[in-house]
Amino acid sequence: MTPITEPTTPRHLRPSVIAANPWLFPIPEIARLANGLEIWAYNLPGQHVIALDLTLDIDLSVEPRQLEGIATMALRTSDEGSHDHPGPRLAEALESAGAAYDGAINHHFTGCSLDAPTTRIQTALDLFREILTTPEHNPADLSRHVSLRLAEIEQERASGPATANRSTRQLMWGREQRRGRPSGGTAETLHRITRDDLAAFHASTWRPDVARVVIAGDHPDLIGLVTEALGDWVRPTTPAVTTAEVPTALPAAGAGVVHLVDRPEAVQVDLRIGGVGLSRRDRDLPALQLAGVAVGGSFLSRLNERLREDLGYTYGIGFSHRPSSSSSRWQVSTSVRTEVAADALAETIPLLDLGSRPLTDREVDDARAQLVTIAPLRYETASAIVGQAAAIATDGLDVDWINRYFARMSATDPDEATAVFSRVVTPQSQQTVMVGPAEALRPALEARGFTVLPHRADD
Amino acid sequence: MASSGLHYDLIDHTLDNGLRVVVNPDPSSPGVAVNLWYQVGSRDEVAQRTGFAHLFEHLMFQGTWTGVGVGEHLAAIQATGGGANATTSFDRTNYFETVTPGALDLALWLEAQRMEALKVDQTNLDTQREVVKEEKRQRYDNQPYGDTFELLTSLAFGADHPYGHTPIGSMADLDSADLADVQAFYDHWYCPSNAVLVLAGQITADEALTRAQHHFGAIPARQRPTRATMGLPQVDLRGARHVVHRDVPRDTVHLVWPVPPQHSGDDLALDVALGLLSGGQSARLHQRLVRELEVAEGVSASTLGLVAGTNLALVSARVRPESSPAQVRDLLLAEIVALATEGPTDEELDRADAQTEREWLEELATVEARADEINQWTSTTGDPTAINRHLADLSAVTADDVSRALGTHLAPEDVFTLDYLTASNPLPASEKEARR
Repeated sequence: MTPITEPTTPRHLRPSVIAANPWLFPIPEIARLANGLEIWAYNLPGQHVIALDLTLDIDLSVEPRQLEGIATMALRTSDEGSHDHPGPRLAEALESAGAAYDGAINHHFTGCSLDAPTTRIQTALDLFREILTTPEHNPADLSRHVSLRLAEIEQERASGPATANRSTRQLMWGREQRRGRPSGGTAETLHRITRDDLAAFHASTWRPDVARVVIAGDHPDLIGLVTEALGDWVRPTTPAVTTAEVPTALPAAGAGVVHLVDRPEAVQVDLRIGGVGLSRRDRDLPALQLAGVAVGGSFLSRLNERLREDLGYTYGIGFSHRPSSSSSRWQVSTSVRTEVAADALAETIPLLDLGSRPLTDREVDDARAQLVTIAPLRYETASAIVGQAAAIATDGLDVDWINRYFARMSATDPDEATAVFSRVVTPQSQQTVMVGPAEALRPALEARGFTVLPHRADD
Repeated sequence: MASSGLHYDLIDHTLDNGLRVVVNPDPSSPGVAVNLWYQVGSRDEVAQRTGFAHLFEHLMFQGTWTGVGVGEHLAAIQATGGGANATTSFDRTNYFETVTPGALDLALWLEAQRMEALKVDQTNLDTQREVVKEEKRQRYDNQPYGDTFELLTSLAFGADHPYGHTPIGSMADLDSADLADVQAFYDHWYCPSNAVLVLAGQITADEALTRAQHHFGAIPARQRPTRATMGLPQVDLRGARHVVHRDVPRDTVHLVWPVPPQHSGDDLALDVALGLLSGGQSARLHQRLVRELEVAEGVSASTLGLVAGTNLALVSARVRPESSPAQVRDLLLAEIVALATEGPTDEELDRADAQTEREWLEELATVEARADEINQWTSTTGDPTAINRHLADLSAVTADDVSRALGTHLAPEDVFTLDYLTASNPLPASEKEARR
């Protein structure tokens, strides 16, 4: 056969797309146990692995300043042995139950997750209770996890992207606020943590009255399962510490200023532009998210089409916005070769200004498809449902919030999306960080009129 | 004791032009996954053209002679509320979309256009070449330890072996690719008989086959291209040790053995053995080196998953500053020998089974991943239904199988060691390149 090498009509007309049926995020069964533990349960037929997230309201600002990182150590040592299953017996028992236990530290909460097949979930939940209530806190485990955390700090120092993210945090929140300091602590604070500190921190913060469980999978009585496993988790008599820092963003330097971190050996420059975002309680959040997809969240978004597909400057550039209870932020992230880094920044900044080129109907419709129409595909598994629901629950929102959010999004027009984006992403509110070889970057940036401020990214 | 009893309906049909179509109807799924594997990967690249299969994967998103615009393939799928992507490995290139049922026709139509009428011009070749070079910098060159796999494959196979370079290729070769190469590569490898299409999700078998026939059936047949025979590695590194120094925070030790390719010989027993060594917190290497002796920050053990001729098994450890690469290497080998000699306990095997079952269930829970898994079995073994036996086959691996596989393939005297050392840790010259 002869290859096709000139324009021709396709064998069949391009098919039209049949609109998907409206879809609603499932509504969970809810219970609150006598010990204060809240449960959201999603019975999902066909999901043979049960997913569970437990979040504890532990804002890192409650850590003693000299012991920062203790919440991280409490989490990382939590499955290193329990009263009934000391040392490695605990991991062995969990793995024999087909379970996977994991955890995540957020500035505003601590998350523990458990996945296990429906056939073995009861055993797994019994072990989960041991993790939560009777961790062994062996000094050797603490010491090892401190060493591993120090190694992690060194690995992060050696990474360009991690250095860019660290710098953004420092510049946005400052070192005087907990939010601006490393969530996992520093060498200085980690070395001070003793086994007794750890046990005391755990006893006062891992408690059912500041915790909630979101669980999903193919099981008719998920509430019963959780109640049986965690119903006798004792609520301490002392009240929980609930006062958390509400961080205030430092004044941004604005779009004309680049905070430059010197990484002389880098073969690529990591670029971040960020600012303060909107919380889930903000009624403008849906409009901001839609605009964010059009600007930098899809393959042919304004940023990716220009910087990647037209110019070939980068493997990808994206705009993201992360809502959080008190430190929401938006960010543009990319990596570009050094020779074009200043040009890339000069190309990016005008694309964040929607005033001169408002979003179109087509852009907002496409963004809506990517955020709303895609929902049934995005939430196909138990763990995806749990991940989203846990984020909502931890923010103190109600079970139907996500459906109202989708409905608001469906009703948002391009004018509104443009206006909200323009209100949030202003030139004055932008904080720009570049990590790369300063010797080459500084003159290139200054030649394009940027003010360059050196930044040291050490915590 | 794999208890899940999962069984997928699989309908297997080959169109007259040679395109094989496998369907997994799943009415409970919210969407449909479209998954195409072309039998071409970095192993099919010729000298001075490394990275070409992957560069070409990018070009497959640059439009067609039949009216699909630059970047439109992916953007159009996203605009329906779906997702699309592609990846290139040593052995194959895959392209996939996951869409709502009402967008399935569009996804199939777009794939059919680029199977037959891809259009690449100098401008988008030049642009995507730069994009791929940025991808290489971002994922490898600008990352600590980023050249590890490039080193491992070139050392273990020899640079001229088909597996002797990684899919990302070299900057020089990417620079030298021209438009004629692109057209020739497309004409040679991209045709119905060199592809397998899997459809999984909310669609009946009849409907899926009808639609596949409609969109792909008229694409002219071409003889399936033959692939080069995969020889043994060009080098014999048994017992050798190679040392490199890099600006990284920690020393890392890699132990490498050539092993039988995936889906052959002892590969299941080896997979189980490597899982017993490093899968999870209770696995032997983590318990011994990370937890008890505290000489390593982390350990891993796996194979590269290569399917032709020779695969590589790789056991790696990040060395704690108080310890030494030599000590860690000896301890890793001692644990491997111990497992080979004593064999795993029943409890260890049961634990591995339970973990494998959950991982398998999670892996197959999305239609996107399931379609790709089905395509792997189909494209690599020719038998999609093997997916329904895989758990039971893993579960049937015995302690003796594990011992035999380790004893045969991971013998300490056969190991090739790559010491990836911090710049501040120069070994005495006499230890560099030391041979057995």
